[in-house]
Amino acid sequence: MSRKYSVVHISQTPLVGAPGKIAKALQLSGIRSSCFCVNDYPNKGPLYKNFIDNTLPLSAFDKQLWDFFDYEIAKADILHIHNDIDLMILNRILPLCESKKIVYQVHSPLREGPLFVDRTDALEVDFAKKLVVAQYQPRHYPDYECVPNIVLDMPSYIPRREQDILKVVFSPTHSRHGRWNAKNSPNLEKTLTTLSDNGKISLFMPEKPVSPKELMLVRKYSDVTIDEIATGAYHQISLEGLCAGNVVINRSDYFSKRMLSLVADTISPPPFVYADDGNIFDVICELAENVSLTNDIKRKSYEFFMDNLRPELLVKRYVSIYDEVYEAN
Amino acid sequence: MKNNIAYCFVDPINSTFSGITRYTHDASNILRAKGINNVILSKNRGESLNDFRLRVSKFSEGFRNSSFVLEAPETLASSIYVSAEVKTHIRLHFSKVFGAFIEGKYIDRRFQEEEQRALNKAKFVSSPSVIGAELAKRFYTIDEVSIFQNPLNDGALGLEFAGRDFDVGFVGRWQALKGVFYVKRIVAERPDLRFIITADAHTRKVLRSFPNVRFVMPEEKALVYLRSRCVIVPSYFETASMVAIEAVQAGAKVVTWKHIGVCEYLDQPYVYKANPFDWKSLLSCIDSAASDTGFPVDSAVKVIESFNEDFLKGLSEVISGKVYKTDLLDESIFASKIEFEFLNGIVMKEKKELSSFERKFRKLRKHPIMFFRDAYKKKKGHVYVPSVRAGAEAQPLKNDSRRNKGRRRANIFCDITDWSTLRLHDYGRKDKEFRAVFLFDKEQYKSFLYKELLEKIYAHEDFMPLRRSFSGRGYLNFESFPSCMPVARVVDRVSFNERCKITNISVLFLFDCYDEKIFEFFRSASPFVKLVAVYTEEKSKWPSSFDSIDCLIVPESFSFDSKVPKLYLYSSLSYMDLIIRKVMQEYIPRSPNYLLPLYGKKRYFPEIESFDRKRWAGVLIVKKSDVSRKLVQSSFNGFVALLTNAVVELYVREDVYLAYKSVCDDIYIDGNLAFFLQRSLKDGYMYDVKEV
Repeated sequence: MSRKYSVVHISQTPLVGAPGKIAKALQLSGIRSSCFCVNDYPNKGPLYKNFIDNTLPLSAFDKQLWDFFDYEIAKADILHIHNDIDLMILNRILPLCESKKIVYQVHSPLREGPLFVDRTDALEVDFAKKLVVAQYQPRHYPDYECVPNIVLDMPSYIPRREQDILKVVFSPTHSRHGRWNAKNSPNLEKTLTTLSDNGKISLFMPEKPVSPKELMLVRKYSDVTIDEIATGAYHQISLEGLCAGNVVINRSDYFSKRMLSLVADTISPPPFVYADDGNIFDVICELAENVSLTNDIKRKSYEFFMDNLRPELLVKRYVSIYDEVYEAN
Repeated sequence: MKNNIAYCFVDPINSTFSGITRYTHDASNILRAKGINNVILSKNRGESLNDFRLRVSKFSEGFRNSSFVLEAPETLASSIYVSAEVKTHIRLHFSKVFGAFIEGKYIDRRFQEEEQRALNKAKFVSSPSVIGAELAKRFYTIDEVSIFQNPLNDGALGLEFAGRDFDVGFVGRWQALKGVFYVKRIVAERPDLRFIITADAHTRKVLRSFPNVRFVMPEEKALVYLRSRCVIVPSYFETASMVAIEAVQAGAKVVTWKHIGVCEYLDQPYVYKANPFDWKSLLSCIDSAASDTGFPVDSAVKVIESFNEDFLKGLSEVISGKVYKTDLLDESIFASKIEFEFLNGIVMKEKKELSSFERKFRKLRKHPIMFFRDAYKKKKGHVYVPSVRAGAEAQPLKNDSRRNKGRRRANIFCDITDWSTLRLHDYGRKDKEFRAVFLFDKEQYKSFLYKELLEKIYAHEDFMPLRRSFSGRGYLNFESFPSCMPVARVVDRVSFNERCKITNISVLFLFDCYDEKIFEFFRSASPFVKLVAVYTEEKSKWPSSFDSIDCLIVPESFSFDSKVPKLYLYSSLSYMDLIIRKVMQEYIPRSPNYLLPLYGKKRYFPEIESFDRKRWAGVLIVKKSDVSRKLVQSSFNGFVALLTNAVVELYVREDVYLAYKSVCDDIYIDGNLAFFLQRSLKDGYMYDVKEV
């Protein structure tokens, strides 16, 4: 089924692939959609080229591709801006968009990097809809409509065998600080390496970030995915963990979890396992010793993903928003 | 016996050469001669000042609410621990603080604060001269000061008159403040004059090479009075000068500066007045005093008698609660306003013996421990050079700001005129939960309102976050904030490093800021900082929103209908330092951290005991059936609306309650949880939610 409108996503950085995945999911559901980012991550950094599978970084473009960008913008009916973009790019786009609907989506917290404040005022655009990623961010943007992040990988469930050691994946993308940006907690790495050195668990904790595709493969053959246990949020990693049929450990509170349930259109909370610095050791030890518990939670994770988080289900929320925006005079 | 005592003199110095000790004994004798039973409490040698203060306080305990009066000098604040129910009379002799001001030396801030506290307690304040009272008013807040002269117990000298065979006499300790610089200069430059000087070993060493000087022991000062034609009192400042009165009583003329206290009472032929620190004027006065042989001895005795009568009259008037101004004064001298700025650091300026570096180097060599201790104290701001407060105009002193420059780096958080380049001070991560910073408008800070407020805040020495050495302050230019620009663009211009420095602060106090964008700017710079807006005056135009504010301190008359987590109304600015202390106390981490019932039945349930106070800010008990419904509006507000209807009970940690005090108080009244939940979740608190 082909829809009557097309959507262009623009962001400043690849935002760990989130806008690209939305665009891809829209394409799969029959909506013409493309995704551009102004800059890729710094080319000497560990994230360079890892998150642009579905995104075209504009900085790499030659003139032909800039023309393509302008063409796409001109053809688009709906413009979807993520987080924040350069005023220079915005000023280039805006003359082409007089009759277009512009949607804004925020991915980052307030009062800390990279946004610090609500950017919609600074962009000086009349947004038809303001969206927020349904993780911990809605509490900072209470009026914005919640939308999900999408995982495009194939879901899988590989049960842990009786004789298998517990395989744990922990691979934070960065080591920033802040109330919601933090990833590392003082005890976590120590606990994991100790358990791993003692042969309790098999740990996959790369020193440099690994490309998301490789990581997903590792995840599928592992049992436990640890997101972060510092802030009280869950992130894309938790969703990928559910997709890979893993036990997902994070510290997300009631409100973060309820936001996921809300956008997944379900009343049951996601089967995340709560852990923080105080109890991470106990949680992992219990899982390491109890194979049936591990498999039980793994299956629940897989089922939750299959029932609620498949891209074709989640993208409906975007489609209904675009429908509403497009229909409105 | 104790019951008969009507008056008590406190003498914290107790030294033979001290004017205060002299005054104490003379006054005591005169009162006793009049049949008034009195006693002197003197500090013992080897007794610490604090022990002495405690002894004074203990002694006065039995005299609460009686007619007994305790008199103490303001210096060293020896009456500080005395109960307010005991009547205290502070006599302004000469404070250490004035000395430091005149010498341009650093002094512990504590001295001035303690003396002010003792003065606040005092029921009566008196001074021997107008200029003494005026100078004290520039350092302390005093309402009314009675003026009457110091007494002199006649007959104390009792030596036979042996003929005035010396031209110039000098009595006093060999100290810079006593003007020994001038004594030495006269001795050196006028070999034709013969001098008689009270001298200890050090003085003898200094003046050894001059044959025209005759030394006597300090105990034999009467010899100086009786054998010299004139006695010089070249002190930089004296509220009265006991030496001058003693000299006049003994029949010697006195040469001194015009601004010395005794000049208000006496004139030629008793006292010759030179222009302050004018060398030529001093010499001509000495010449005319030494050459003039006539001295009306009989009338001099009468003068002293009139002083004693005046003292008794003044004391009885003061004790009966009146403000007494002696009629012996020549009022015309002080018709014009007195400028004290010329005294600032005068000793250093006159001496010019050693450069600043040489002095410091000498100190490092001689007293290395003291050198480093003082350097540390200076850096931390424990010590300072006192400066006089200007009168009605409230103009900052030029010298004052110059002197401050060196210490500025220590605790100045920022000094922003141009918002495009922000430079902040990094306080480091240590104890960051306790760090408070006070931010003022750069222009307005020049008024004394803020400076005095800050000094009052710093006086809370027992509370670490408000200590001068710990808390910070900064200046901003509110007007030049780029308000036309979105705050996002201003924040973007601040470098990562500077933003991190804001993270190391717990509470930011912004004084009289009317631009809500400045609030937003500081609030968005760090997720942990608390922003307190303080208003010292009422303006017609308030900021349009207080959304970024965590606490608001405003005058009582303030009315505004937006919700603020914490609101403090005050009736008088004099409570401001206490409110600021309270706010700060409520923001610092608490241990133990109790769980308080905020909403619902307030019952006991077993989970409360296992509640993890580190992990959660509170317990929220909701009805599962109510909260599991699907939402029509998929925003966070929609969810909170659904949740607030489903809440059965809510318990919060004490620190959370204190951070949202006004909002929590509203909940007790109207039971509306929505604003509280939204705001506290936005600020990063997390709740343990139980579905039942």
